[in-house]
Amino acid sequence: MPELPARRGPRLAPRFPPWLFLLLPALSFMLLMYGYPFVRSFVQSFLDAAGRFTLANYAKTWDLYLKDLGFTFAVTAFSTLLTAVLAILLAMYLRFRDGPLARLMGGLYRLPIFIPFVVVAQMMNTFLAPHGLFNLALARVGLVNIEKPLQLFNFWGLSFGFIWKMVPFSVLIIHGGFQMIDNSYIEAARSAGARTGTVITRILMPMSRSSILVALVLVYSQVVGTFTLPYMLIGGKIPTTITVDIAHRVNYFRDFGVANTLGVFSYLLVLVTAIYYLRSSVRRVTEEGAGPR
Amino acid sequence: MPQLTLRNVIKSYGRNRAVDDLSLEVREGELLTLLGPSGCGKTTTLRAVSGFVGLDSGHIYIGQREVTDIPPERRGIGLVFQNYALWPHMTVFQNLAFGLQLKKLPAGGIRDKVQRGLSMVQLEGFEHRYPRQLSGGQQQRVALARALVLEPDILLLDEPLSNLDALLREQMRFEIAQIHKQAGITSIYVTHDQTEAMVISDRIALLDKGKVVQIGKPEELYSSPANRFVAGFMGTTSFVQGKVEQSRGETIWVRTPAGLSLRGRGRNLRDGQEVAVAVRPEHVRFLEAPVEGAVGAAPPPEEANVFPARVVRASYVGELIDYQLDLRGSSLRARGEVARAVAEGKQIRIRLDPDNLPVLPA
Repeated sequence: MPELPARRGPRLAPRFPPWLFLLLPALSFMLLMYGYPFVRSFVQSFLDAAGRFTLANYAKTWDLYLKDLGFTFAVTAFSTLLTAVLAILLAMYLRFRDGPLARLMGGLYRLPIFIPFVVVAQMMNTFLAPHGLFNLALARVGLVNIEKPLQLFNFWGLSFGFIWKMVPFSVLIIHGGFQMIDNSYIEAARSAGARTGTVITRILMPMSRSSILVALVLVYSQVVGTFTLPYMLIGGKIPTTITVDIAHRVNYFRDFGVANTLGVFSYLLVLVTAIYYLRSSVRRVTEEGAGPR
Repeated sequence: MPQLTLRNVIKSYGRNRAVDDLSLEVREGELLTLLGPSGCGKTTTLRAVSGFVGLDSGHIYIGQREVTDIPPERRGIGLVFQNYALWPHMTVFQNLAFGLQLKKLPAGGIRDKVQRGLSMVQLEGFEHRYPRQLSGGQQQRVALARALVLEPDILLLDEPLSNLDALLREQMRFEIAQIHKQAGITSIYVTHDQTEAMVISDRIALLDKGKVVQIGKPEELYSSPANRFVAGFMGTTSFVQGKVEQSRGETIWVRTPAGLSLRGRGRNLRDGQEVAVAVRPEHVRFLEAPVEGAVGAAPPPEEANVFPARVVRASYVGELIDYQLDLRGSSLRARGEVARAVAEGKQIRIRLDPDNLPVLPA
């Protein structure tokens, strides 16, 4: 086989266009403010007080907080799912209905978005208390004996608070997605014989999949990490959420090892949705990139 | 296939009356085009037939069945949209099968019907593609097939070719006409493109301000326009203003302000009435090669409608030359062969065909 002449020409070296340097401030900020604390907390979860590698933090967390981990996941998943259902229903109503009531709803539903969690927590404390407005209202219509009121400073009350706070935020995103779907898609379905239910489940929801997904991921991530509402509603009772446990480990024991381990578990809880979201996004981008063949 | 009847349909948006006491009938198996400028009410009429727009008053019948208050999903209509409206999360097969599944047809029957639908629009083998993997023309064909597989009583097409490029649009016109002939479904086609309407339609209803101005076969609207609006909308038309000088039956003589006497044909016109003579480019004939200094020369008495004119502009448009002529202050459009092109500024003699010169109330 004849020997090929050596290729001559400019050396192939990785080239960085100068404008990439413009990214440096933002990149540095992100690495310093997000990347470093994340990596540090992750590493510290494997270290003891003397700085040696250990799995003791994980063993302790497993022993003490397994129930709270399950509770946190259950509250988060339940709140997220119910938020999604209610937000989709409300977004549907706003998408299909016009008139004074729909317009009023369209304005009112956004209010909770602007109320901080600490205020929501205080509201829920009075609203869901044994002799609070909720129990009194149920007692008035005969559904509850006010001598034995519903105890709601638990899973149900916490979920109620999360849903109350997160539904408007989700509606904002999901309704935006619905609004972007041209009426012709709905009309094409209806002219093919589809009734409202079929239009919603087979046309609107699949076509708004990405906005529903974004809403779910954001709600889930926010609920997992919320401290104020569970702290003020449940406090140190068992079970509680891991955010309350983290505060407890740091404030009372200065136990950063277990606190960081609980933090790692909260990352893992969020990681599930993050991976799902990223995979869906990548798949969507890939599919959208496939043009006419 | 049943016929479609609209009786005294009225629809207003606020103070604006979009459809104004409109009545028309689409015959069995016919393709009727609603033609008109933007805002004339053609799309509102179509949407009223589909059931997506409620009427203020009036009635709509499909065959003998009144559908005025029946929801769209129970009217038995097929809809084809300007933007295709193919559901992007479904494959071509799923798009076509959607309505058939709602009818609860067996899987085998659905497969057969989808195959037949795709074969009708020549898209066999595209079943598993998504809309984004199709070109605009293919998407429009799928949209058409999706409407046809349901075997609707009435097919409604809302400017289905507007989003396509000019070349594809021209090709698709013939295809839609052919598919309609094959399917034989009573259809309404909405467009603002008069050429498209003339190629596709069995009849055309020309709308203006929510009313039908004229309805008839394409050639009727073109050659015998009911008024100046129709003449102006259907093809290129120049208008020469004047007054009725004399009328004998349908033959009308019109005197222009410049003193020309034009002979044309018209109805129900009285002497002295202000009129407009509609002149189509193809009815302007160049009599001879350019003549220098012939302006104002009197036409030979034995020939009617022969006048001197000046070439103001000559534009090469491929197979012919598009002329703008000055006829004693009136602007006329004419067409001529490329081989016998006349230069701008030249004086010529033209003849306007009296049998094809509609005289219309101004």
